[in-house]
Amino acid sequence: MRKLNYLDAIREGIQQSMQKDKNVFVYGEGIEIASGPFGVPLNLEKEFGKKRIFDVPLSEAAMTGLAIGSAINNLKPIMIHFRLDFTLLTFDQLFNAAAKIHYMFGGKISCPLVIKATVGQGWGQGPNHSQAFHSIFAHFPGMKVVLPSNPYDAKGLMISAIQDKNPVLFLEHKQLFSSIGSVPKKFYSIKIGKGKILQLGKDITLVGFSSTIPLMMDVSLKLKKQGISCEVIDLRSSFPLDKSIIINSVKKTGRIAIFDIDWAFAGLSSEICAIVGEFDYKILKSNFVRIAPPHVTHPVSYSLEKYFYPNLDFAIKKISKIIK
Amino acid sequence: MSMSKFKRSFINLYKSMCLVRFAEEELVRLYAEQEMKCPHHYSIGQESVAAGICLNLDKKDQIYSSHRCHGHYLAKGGSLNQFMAEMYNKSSGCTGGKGGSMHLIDISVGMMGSHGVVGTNIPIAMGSAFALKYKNKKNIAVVFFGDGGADQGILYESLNFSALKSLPILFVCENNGYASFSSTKSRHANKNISDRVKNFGMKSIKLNSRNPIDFFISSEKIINYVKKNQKPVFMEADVDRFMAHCGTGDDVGPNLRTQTDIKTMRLNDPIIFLEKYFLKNNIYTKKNLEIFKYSIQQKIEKAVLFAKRDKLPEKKDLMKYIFA
Repeated sequence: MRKLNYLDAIREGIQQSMQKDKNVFVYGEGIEIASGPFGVPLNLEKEFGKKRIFDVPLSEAAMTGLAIGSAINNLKPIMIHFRLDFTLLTFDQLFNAAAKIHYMFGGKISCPLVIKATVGQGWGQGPNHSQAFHSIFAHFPGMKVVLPSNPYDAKGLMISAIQDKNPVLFLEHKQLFSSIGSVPKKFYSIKIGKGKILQLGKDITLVGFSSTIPLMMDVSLKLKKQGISCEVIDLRSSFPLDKSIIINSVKKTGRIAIFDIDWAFAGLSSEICAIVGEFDYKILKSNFVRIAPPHVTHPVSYSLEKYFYPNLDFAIKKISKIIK
Repeated sequence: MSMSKFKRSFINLYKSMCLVRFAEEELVRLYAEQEMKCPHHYSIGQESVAAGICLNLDKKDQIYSSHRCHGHYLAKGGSLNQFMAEMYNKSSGCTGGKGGSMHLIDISVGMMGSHGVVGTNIPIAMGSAFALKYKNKKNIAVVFFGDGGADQGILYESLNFSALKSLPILFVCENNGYASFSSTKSRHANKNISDRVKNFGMKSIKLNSRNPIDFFISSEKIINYVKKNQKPVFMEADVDRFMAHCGTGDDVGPNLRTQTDIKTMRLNDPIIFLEKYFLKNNIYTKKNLEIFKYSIQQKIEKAVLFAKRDKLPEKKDLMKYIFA
């Protein structure tokens, strides 16, 4: 099958959606620059014109309102942020309005918009350019969050996000940009809220998403050499969260290690522990393990980054404590 | 304007203002019964603006409002029964009891929703204006907010973008001198809000709403300008809020407002102004006006009865409308 990288797959998802539906439009800071940085859908302005793809001022909050008002009127806006960190400027719009509009107006209107943003972890991106908010976004009822880990999912989930009748955060990870995979040319969607078993195993369940998947595969390979068989699950979204794929796997393996790109404290990894614990603690043969950054601000220096972001040794060490 | 059109316009203005006034006065009267369990923000005294603007709009022109939204909803022609039912937290309310007094909506008449956080509605209305233009509609968006809304940075983001993209939107800032309990004295360096906006690349005007006839005529011109030129306009309207920021009091107190303030406001009551105008110019007799008023009171009484008899939302409704 044809190979595409992660960014081109996202771009193709946007492009095909725009070809199919004239109500889809896309905007973001610097988006008209042909050589656009980070995840910007390159060259689409040539095909669709300035009406449907345009540059905007650095007014993230008002530009989110632009998406909401458009979405209420049945347009399908895609708003692009170079960095997920910038969405903090938009929380009133997203969580006092977008996520609540359908509910608080008794189902009379809905808000089908897509926020696409990059998690910029690595290369000294530091305190304001590295954060991951899939846990915070999942906390508010009414918002969906997808975090694709590979080009195939990236295209399919982008198409699903655009087709969804609700606000969706599409979270792409900078470290995955150059990853290559098979991507069909056809227009296809992936159901939001369904995880995927990447590898069957019987001794321990590894769950994660986005850029944790390559690390999880490395962990699995290393543990296999020690005779430990890992079941590897890509959750693909933090809301809706595929609870049954997690529970069914842990029922079988009895152990779970949760990988996250966000802080563990009060994060999605805590939620996953709660889901398993509330289902039936007796399915567990050992404690939970969370492979996630420590509860401290993202540092810049690479000599600190290497202790901040979990790596293979760190993961193996933690997992070894619950499985010999 | 021909005499008959003139007369027709002003009696409609009077009726619309009376509808808002009497509906809210009825709420004030009934609030003590404690059956309406939701905060109310009355616009008694400010009716010229809601009526003067909305009567000059088409059904398909879209309005957005704030926490103080009763007048805008009713003047735009929102269902009176659904309004009262919402006040009583009932299932036939315009949001089925999900949104309450601060989240009114009736999309059948272009009332696209009101928002409870000051300023949230502003860019959403801008998004609507964008969508109307995107779809080549001739309609416009109007957003109502107070002088508190003029404190929010998101207003200035929205003014800039609306001017940049030449969007058909009318910004209406109802300046009643108070953002909840803070007077403009403690908040504004330049007290002339419309003056600040003049450098944003759009027409910006200041009107006095205590003469509803002048206000109506000016609004008609401005709305025609926005429609014809597809350009934004900012309007600051001086208004008096007779009642408290929230609830049935009058916010008279130390460091707040004085009895004299309220008395002066009531002397400039725009509805009394209109009545005096009709009588002085022999347009209507006292008897005529009494008949108009009686018929409005009757409608309101019926709506209250409808609301009181309506059923409350049930347990099964709690989780409805989280997602579209």
